[in-house]
Amino acid sequence: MDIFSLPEVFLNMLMRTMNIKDRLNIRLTCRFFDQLVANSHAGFFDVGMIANAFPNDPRTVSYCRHFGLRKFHDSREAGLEKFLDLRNRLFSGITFGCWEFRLSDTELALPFLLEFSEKFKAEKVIFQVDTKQQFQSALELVAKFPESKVMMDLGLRPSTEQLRSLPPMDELQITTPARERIGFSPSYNRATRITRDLFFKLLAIHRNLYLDNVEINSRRI
Amino acid sequence: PNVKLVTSDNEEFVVDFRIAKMSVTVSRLMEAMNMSETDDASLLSNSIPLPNVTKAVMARVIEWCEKHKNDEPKEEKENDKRGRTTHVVSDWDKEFLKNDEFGRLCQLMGAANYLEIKGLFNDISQTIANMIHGKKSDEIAEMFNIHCDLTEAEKKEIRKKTAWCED
Repeated sequence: MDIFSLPEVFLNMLMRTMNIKDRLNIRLTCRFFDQLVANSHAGFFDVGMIANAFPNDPRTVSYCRHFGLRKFHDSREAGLEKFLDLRNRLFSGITFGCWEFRLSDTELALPFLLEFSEKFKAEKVIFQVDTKQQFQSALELVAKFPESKVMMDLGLRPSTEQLRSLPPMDELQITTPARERIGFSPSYNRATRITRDLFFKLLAIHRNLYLDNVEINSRRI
Repeated sequence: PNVKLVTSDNEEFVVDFRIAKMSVTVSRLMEAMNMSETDDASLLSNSIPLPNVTKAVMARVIEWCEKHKNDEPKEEKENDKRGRTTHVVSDWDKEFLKNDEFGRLCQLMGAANYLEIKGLFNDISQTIANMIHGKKSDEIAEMFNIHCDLTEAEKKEIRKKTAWCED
């Protein structure tokens, strides 16, 4: 039996267990492996993360990106250009096992992220959402990953309308807003209130539901 | 309680219920045939046909399962610096697989995939990746008996494009 007789699904699995340098060396062995590595989303990273380097400064869209444990800290255009170039030269696409988005309120952030996530796939995408604007961005980004499992951590005391607008997710967390978790904020004990009907709706729609500091009342909507 | 497994070459293996349950495929078949741990009659009167596994490969699979039948279900993967999904192959598993030539590893991998025994599949996949790790392209080609059909110009082009990761 030779390596070419292995089903492609095995070879793709094999690529995932190899580091990039090994993948590139095997690419040089013959045309078959060159094509396999280049064309099959064999550019696989177990984890990825994209976060605004200065989340509190609305004038900057300087992003920090992690691919595996490799980090890129670049200004917007240079970073995007450089990384997309590397991606286009190496693989037809890159898949993340798990890709985490730490969103910001910068108005330029969404177009940048929508553009940046082209040609990426993710088995699971994670969103940390702390504001209304981030919530809207997260919804738009979720639509870019129709085949992915989605996990969203809502730390913004979401409204009924917001909760009703969520697509089915693998995991939905409703938690105390991050800014109120620090110190002894007077709002710390303020719960997110949802009705019993909405609770059961969320339970039916989402695969896993984690509620922290959520009050469920029995009133109907 | 024991379960009877029958291979493609009609060899019957009688294995412990726990070992049979390590295979998702066998587990599903037992469920479909209403075979349960507490019902000895159902286990004695039925056997599970495994038409995609030969006697020789099944013996190896059972040997691996015997060793791992008491393992705790473990969280997969750690990452190394290059974004590789690393499955840690234990010393026993390394020893178990070290004398298998590539062809036999592939057969075992095929069986692990068919039987859906994730731990064994990952062990073999990682063993093959380890065989490749750190080798130059011509060494990999030699190891797997690959005839290189890339021209020197094509190789040069690929090297040029991928020079960034040569650090």
